[in-house]
Amino acid sequence: MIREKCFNSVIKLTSILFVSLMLMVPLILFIYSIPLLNINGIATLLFSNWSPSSGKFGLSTFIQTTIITGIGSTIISSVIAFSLSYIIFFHKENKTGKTLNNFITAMAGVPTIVYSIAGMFFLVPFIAKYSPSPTGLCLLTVILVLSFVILPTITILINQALNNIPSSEINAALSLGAKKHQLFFKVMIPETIKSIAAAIVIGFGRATGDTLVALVLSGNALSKPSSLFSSSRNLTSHIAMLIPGEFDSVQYKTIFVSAGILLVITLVLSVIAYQLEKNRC
Amino acid sequence: MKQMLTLVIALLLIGCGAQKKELKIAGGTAHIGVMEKVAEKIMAKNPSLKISVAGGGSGVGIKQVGEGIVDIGNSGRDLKPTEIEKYGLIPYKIAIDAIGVIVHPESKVSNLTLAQVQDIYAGKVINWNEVGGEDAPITVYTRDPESGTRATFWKLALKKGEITEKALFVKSNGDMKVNIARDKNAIGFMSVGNTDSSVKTLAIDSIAPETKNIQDGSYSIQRFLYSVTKGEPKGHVKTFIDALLSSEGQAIVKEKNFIPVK
Repeated sequence: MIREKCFNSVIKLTSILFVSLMLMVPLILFIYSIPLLNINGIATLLFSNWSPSSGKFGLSTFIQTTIITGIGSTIISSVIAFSLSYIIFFHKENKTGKTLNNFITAMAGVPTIVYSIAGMFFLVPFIAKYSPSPTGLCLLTVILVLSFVILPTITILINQALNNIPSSEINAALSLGAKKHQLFFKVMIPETIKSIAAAIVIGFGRATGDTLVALVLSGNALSKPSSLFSSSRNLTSHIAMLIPGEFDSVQYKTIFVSAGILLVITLVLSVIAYQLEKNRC
Repeated sequence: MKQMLTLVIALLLIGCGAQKKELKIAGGTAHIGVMEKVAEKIMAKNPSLKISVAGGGSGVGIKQVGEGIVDIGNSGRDLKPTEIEKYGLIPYKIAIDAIGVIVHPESKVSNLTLAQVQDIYAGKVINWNEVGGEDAPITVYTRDPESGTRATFWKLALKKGEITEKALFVKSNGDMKVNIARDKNAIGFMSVGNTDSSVKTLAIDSIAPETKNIQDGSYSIQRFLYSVTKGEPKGHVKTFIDALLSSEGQAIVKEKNFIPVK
């Protein structure tokens, strides 16, 4: 009895400790941002350009780039994920489906640095040669590589959702004469649409938070992202470039604001994903 | 019993007197070649000593040696008086290095005036055909904010002028070399000591960054490479600094295409 009580207390304490530490993160980010907020208001930080020589530390270019690369890679990845899920589902019993499934699962564990290096040595020269981008270090490269990074995540989650459909429903549709694509698009997808949406949102969160791909492949220029073939810096690589810098400088404090913005973006997405998942019937 | 006690005390004293077994060096990426070679030689003589050399840029080197995170910080730029005072740093000049403006080896351009370099970096000149090259847009490369190479280049070559916001950022001398070697329309800058045949170094105002021109000052975009300690160097730190400044160390400096300070 006493042992049980002790165990419960330990569990409760651990949970409280963990939650408190997690809540401290946004608090610390806010506290360290204060010196910067005194110089540039929130509006300046969110909407103006990066120009330290004139005292403006606006992050708008980086925010735009983060959103563009996030959305672009999520769209491409989701489309491919649908195709892969289709193949895996309808070839579940034979070698094709199983191999593909195992391959995707293995891909999920590959560290992003591997994709970044592969991108640097294979994709960048290709894009430099065949696209308007002279260097190959541009938003398109980042979007393509990010699509690969988040593809396993989205595919696995969609597969899970599809596999949770009771086989009785699938059999019912098939016995009514539904062809494969009708089954997939008119029965299965609508049924699991909320879980699929949650999967896509999680993929978007991963894409926006990825640092290494953008750092290595985007060129990190300060100019606005005017086209897919221009180079531009996003929030995560901005943080990575400033971290070795001088802590006391005002510039340095922008990493806390940037991290705060990323936190807000991913939190909002997590809440959306949670709500979507909760409401599935 | 007495013998045991004496033995234990002796061992303790030896243990206290024994020096730190690890020497940590970080900072300027231009220094890395020299640092690693000298470290190799010292580790060969002291097998129990482990020396680690890292990059990060001059800013990182100065900050980390000041905060005691590393034992020696390397800088490719002059230290600011505020930095010296705040941390109590002592900089040692270990080599002279020039900063070269580099382009792709197949570029038609071999010489630029300083004004042209400044205009290219400011974004006023955007096509190679404006400076005697092919009809192609110029891709400008610059270094991360921590770079001493960049700080020196900005001060001495660009005369503290603006750098175009279209410039691409790379994170080390090595990174710069890889990118310029790959991009036919690129222009960048890096430590002359670290260049090789994968890039082409330009002459500025018809003066090439050759040893003679660096030594007599006619190629003015040059800087000292410093190794910085916090306070007077002692123990292994002193061994390393002495090695860098010895005739053997300076020979390594020369071997790595820098100019010795002695």
